[in-house]
Amino acid sequence: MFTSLGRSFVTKMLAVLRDTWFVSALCLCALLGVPIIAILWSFTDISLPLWTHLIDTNLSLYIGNSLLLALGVGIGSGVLGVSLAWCVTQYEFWGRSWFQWALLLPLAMPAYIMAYTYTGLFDDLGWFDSRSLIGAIAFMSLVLYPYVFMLAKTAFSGQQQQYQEVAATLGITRSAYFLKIALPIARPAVLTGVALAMMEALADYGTVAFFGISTFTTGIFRTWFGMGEMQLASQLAGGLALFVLVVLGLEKHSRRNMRFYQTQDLPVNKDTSARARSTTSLSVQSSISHYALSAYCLSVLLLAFIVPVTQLCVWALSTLEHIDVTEYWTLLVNSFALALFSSILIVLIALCLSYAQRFAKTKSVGYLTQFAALGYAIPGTVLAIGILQPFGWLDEQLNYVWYQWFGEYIGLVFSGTFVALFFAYCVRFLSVAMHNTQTGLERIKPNIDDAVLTLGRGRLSLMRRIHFPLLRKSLLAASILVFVDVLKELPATLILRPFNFNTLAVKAFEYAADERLIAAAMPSVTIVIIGIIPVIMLTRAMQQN
Amino acid sequence: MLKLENIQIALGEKHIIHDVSLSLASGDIGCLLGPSGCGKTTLLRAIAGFIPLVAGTIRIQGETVSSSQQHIDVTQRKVGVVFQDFALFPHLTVGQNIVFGLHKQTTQQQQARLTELLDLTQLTEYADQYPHQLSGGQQQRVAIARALAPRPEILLLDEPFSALDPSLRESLALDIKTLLKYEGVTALLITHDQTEAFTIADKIAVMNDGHIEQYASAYDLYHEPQTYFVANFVGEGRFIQGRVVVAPNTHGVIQTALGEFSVHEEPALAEYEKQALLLVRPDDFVVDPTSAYPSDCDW
Repeated sequence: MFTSLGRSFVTKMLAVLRDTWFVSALCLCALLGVPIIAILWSFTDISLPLWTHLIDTNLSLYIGNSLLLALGVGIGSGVLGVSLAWCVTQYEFWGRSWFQWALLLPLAMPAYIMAYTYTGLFDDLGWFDSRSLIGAIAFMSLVLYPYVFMLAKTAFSGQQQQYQEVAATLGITRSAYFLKIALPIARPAVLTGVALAMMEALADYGTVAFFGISTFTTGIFRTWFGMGEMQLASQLAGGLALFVLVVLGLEKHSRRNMRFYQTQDLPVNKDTSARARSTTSLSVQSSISHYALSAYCLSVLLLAFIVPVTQLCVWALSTLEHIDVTEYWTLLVNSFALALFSSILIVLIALCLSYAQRFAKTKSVGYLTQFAALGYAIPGTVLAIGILQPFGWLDEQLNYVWYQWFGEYIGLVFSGTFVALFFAYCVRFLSVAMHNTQTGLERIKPNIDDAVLTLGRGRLSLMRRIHFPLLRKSLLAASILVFVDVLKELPATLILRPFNFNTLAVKAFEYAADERLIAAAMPSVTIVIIGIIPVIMLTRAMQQN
Repeated sequence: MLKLENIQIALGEKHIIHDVSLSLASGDIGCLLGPSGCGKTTLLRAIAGFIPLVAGTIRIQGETVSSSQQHIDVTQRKVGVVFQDFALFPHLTVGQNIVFGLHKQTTQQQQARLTELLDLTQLTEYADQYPHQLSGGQQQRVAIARALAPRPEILLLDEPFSALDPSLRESLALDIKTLLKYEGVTALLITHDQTEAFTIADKIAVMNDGHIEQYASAYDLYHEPQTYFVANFVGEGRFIQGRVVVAPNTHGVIQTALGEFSVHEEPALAEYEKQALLLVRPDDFVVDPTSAYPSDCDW
């Protein structure tokens, strides 16, 4: 009995292993899981004296500041995002249709660039010093609110007009309607946006390092590079990863409980819902509140985008004459080559995993890809530590073996080379690419595959003749998004880059850290301008929907 | 031509098809008719080669294409499939869609076949348009032309009319029948709509819960249903409670509240004195205005 059970289990496992798609997905995901496992592994060796020292000194500061930062950014970006989304979806005012997309522009602005641009500006004006936790919260909220804005806007405009009409017949004012009906219905979307903003805040290194605030990310850097305590740094990284995963888990949990709120999923007649939406009456305000709404949107946009970008441009122009052209050119080529190569690599991996999910016979591939996509939630600092440790170990072993055989050392192969850097980008940005490749593939109905096969064409022909032309747009979108994300990435690049290899983001940060804010302007402007591309793509996609 | 012998199919742990046998002569149009969930799509997909068999054999033109040991790949079977949603390639024109399966032929051959099929399906003027520019009926004809292009040995049609406007279905079904008969192709379609089945098919297999209840012509299914399921599923009618009793000079009679009806075939001895159901179709009634027993009746 028992042996026959065992045998059937073995045959089942063998059948699963024969499924090449499943096996390749398993291998890829296992590889991508290495940093997480390395971080967890570090907890096997806990040094009590170091921890007691840390608890006595900085730990409470790290936890407190990180929590305050995340909470503050959550509230700040939530209030900004929801209020702006409510304005542009409910009221008609000057510039409304323009603000609908322009308010997304701050997405192009990395928080650290925002922070030192304003710091420089305030230093010039001599008003006050923004190098504080409050300053960090304010600047991060200003660049991260678009996450909330974007999701809340979709949620508000998707809400059925009938709700509002019912509420009006019951004598409920628009503000009461907002609090009692619209916001609760949009809550899952708003919470998702807030959670994204909080995760970004927790992961931030550039801003807090520049402001000298002790948080988890700066603490990890200090422990690793200042104190040279790798294990402790890994364990701190583990703590930070835990924070982020808790935020992620809360967001998932809140959405599960509120699934019934999502009215869009109801099977509604397309014609009637289209009609209902077309009759959505935007409330027209008296001229004073009309201008107040425009002024509000404009002031946020000014603070979050126009003022800092203008300042950066002014600085960049002022340095134009004595700029080191070869240095700038090198930065540009380095950054572009890095971003281009990683985006191709990452999109290929994402495509491979998406195909595995489509063709594999086992459902578990879905869980594997979800696990692989978790990398997006892991802060760059944590990721870098999680990669350096196993790669460093690997290099040690490799050099040992090489020396035994050939009598010489080959030096670093994995750590401190582009291998580590590309690997980090893969883990971090795979989910961005996969989101696109997956939705692209899902749009191609399985019957299309079947049709190709019954027409006597093989699977290669299916991919080349049918899938590739249909997927081209998704692949391009995925590549561009990854390209820009890699270009903007700071902490992991800072730690993992090969010696003396600089990118735009790294150089901008280094100049800023040396208080050479004006010199930092040129690389920063470049990053922001390139960062606008995905924002435009996003706007287009939203308009098509 | 197409021969299924004692087929069993399982998806995962679940047995979907139990012991199905069926044969279809060359040039005939067969139909699998049954309620949703009866396994007809699974059977069709097994014939096409998407699903392996647990037991039994599928033969096309005498060649075994599926059995528990053997499974010829979909791409190697000469089977054409018209899918429920047509599955036209959205980025290719009508012409490119139709010649997609002719990749082994020369351009001239492809062009000749394309012209022939466009003419047959009355799509000549749409050759350079894209699928989304066509009406549902036109898309269906493209799907059929694409499946017919490589001259498959058998054409399978999966609920071919379900994506179309109900009011057009019957006339489209007749058009399709003419088309298939003109090409002389052996075809098997599946549907849950008996009107479609009756319009198109020469022979219909009524399926229920993974097996075939009856495989016969439309006339026989209607007038000589073999099982209660078929009697109930096909056509209109009512069942009247009755009892089979022995009567002189007949095979027996069924006694019902409406009177006695003679039994055509001799029932088995065990059937006597048992409860029976009598199926009455609307066309079984004959109105006799001169009857000695007038009755008021609301139509």
